Amino acid sequence: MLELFLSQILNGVVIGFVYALIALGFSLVFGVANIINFAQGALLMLGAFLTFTMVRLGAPIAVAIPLAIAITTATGMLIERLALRPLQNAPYIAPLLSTLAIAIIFDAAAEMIWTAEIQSFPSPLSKYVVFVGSAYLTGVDFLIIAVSLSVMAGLMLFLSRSWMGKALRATAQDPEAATQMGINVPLMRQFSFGLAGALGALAGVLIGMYYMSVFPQMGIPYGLKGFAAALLGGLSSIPGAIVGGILLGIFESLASGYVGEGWRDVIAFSVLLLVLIVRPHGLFGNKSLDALGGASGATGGIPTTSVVASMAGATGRTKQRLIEAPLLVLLGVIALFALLPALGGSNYLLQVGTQAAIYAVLAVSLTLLTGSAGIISIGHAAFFGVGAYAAALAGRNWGIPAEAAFLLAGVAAAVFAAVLYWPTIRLSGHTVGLATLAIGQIVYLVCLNWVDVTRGPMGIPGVQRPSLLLGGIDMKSLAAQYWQALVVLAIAVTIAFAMLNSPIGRTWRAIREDRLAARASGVPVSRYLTLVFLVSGFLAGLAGAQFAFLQNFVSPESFMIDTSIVLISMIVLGGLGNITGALVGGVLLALLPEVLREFAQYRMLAYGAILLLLLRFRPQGLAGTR
Amino acid sequence: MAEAPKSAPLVSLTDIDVFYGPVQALFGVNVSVMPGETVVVLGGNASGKSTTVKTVLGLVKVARGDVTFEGQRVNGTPAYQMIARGLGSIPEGRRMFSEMTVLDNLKLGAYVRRGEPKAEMDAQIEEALAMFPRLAERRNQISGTMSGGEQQMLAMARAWMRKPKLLCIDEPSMGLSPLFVDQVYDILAKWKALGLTILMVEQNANMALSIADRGYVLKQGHVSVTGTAAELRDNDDVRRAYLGG
Repeated sequence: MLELFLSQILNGVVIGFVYALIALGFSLVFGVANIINFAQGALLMLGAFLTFTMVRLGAPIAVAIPLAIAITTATGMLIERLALRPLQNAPYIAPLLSTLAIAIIFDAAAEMIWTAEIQSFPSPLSKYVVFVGSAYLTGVDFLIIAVSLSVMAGLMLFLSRSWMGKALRATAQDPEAATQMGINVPLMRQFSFGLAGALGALAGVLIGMYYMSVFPQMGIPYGLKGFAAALLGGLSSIPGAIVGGILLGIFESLASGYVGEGWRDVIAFSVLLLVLIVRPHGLFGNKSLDALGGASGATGGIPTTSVVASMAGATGRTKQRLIEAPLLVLLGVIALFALLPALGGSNYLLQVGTQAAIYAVLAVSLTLLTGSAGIISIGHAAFFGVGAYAAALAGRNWGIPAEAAFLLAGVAAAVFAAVLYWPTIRLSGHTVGLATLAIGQIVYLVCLNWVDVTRGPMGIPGVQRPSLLLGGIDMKSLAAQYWQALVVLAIAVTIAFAMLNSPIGRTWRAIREDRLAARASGVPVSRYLTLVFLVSGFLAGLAGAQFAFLQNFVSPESFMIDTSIVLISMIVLGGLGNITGALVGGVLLALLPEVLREFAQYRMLAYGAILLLLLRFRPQGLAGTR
Repeated sequence: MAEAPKSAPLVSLTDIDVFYGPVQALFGVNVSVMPGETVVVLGGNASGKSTTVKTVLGLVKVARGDVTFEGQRVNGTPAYQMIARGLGSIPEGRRMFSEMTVLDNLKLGAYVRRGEPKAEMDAQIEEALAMFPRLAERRNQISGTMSGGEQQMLAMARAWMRKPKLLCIDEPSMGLSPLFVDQVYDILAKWKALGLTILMVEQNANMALSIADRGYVLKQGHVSVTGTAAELRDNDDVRRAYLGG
């Protein structure tokens, strides 16, 4: 018993050092460039796969690793130059989503180059084993500890002694003053990305050696863990990152030992969530996170929580044309689409149309939350998934008729959203994006691992369709499902439209623009945010149920982070906070993989690229940000 | 200054327009500073006086007109390069690197001279600390924990570390107690006597005109009055608006 405990602790400490390396990369970029770099995990994956490829091509591992680190460093600097520097004066949401888009593009590209399979990673030191009682350490473990400690010591010396290190710190503390000392601030930002890339690549290689394997989707989970470690340690301190990394390593190692390997990541992300909510300043109480309240928080401008205001703070949004159709026009267009089955639309068309309607509902639900209320949600697939699973389980396990399951799904997702997101009400700006990403991952992993209830990866087949809308007509046909999806869409549009054009919508926007000012004007902010979670969750839950009915089947795969990213791309494409925009963006991007059928495997690449280009060239989207 | 001012200005702004988004802040502003001169820019709130100094520093984009430094056109040169060319800055609000020590702040002041020998740098740090005895006692203190007056001293010492050809100062007396204001101006007078060229923006017109050679008065983005310090002191408009009658 004690042996297991000790050996889990030992394992945790070792992997914790790797997390600390990732955490340092996060902290550096966060401190110097004042953004959370969601591409940190992608750089880690890149470093690992470059090493893997070079070794496979015959290079000695001792040559491959430094080379891979060098290339990843350059890539990190390139990302800053291409995806972030042009966004200096863009809306605040832009740099966050930009790094996310990069992460998605890297993931998708890696899957194409190296397939989605797990690859075995060279680990020549694994064969050396030292026993410590009944626990043991391998050569890799010693390598990890030795390399991590020396890198950290080197980094600490570099930051405190060298001119470059001092300039980096000066930039982190006051970029404007740093400029006036003659420091090239953009170069420092770029340099911080390069350093983060190097640390990420090194961590990627060490992870590859530790598990003796690598896979293209490793970026996001390890990126999140690195951030959890950074946050736990209080960001921007090297000893903090080490302590945070080791603690996280021990937590999840104990979880995998006592609960099961599948729960390892759930624990890690829960720790992240818990720290964000309970102690966002970390164990050592650094206050840097306050700077992430919104645009210009740390750069001396007037802080705002707005996701659509420019980074330059006071100068506000660029002039734009806002396209917003009246409710009757929107409903009229939906009614026109309802004629499709009567016009002899094929089953394929109806299937695609139903999918598009479901995505449109999701986009409307997300644009309420992210666009109007300014809560950046990178985990919206969680609401969708909760709705779908609720509908599927209601029929299968609890014998609830499908008609009632519809409503139940909406209510379940609404309650889920309000309860789970409620603690994140205190957060804003980039940190809320991080929290929602963690929630999305947790829900996916729970669906995957809670086999007793969800049947895990096998999913739940045989979901019964409801037949509630028109008495007498067979509502289980595909055409009927299509109509039903359109009715759900019409309901969603009506609810969203009514709310956004009422004082409620105005209050949401006020909270988005400046939470402090809203509070100071007597707005009960948490009540209004709870309301937006409820409504957004309810609509996403309905979409989830409709999805389950359409497929007759649910499985965790449909609710992965990819879905959340697609949804964000949709509302950014349409224009944040704008229903017309959400509908246009939702339908366009839902149809995209169907139109470009032969390029279907590139769809995530396309979504990432669309998001990236939009943020750069048309951040207000097609129909304009409201 | 024993030698007469040379004929070519060290820095000059010619017909400068500057915009913040849609709002125009400067309208055809002409300002120049001769080597060895101390020039003050006066004006009320939102008159464009800070923008004038920021234009020299390269911190704002010039929409029209020319900025020259040492005879060369420097429009669009980023601020960090202007510092490298020989400008020094004491920013408005002091802007400490507040988590760093006094010594580290001073070293960063000499960032553009980082190639120079360490012994020389150390000697200059001692020189700067000797100029500001309050800082000498606090050399290892974290700068963010010091009082506003002490921070202003540090901002000045930090700019001194640059050994600038032209020192730009934005509101050196803002938010300081009268005692510290006197100290700031004592130091500035000393630097002026050593031959330093100074361009400063100041609300406190009385103090500023006490050490300035020449001045400009800005009003709603236009230069409304210009002349020697004595002329400005005698100008009725200036007296009424900025010197308390």
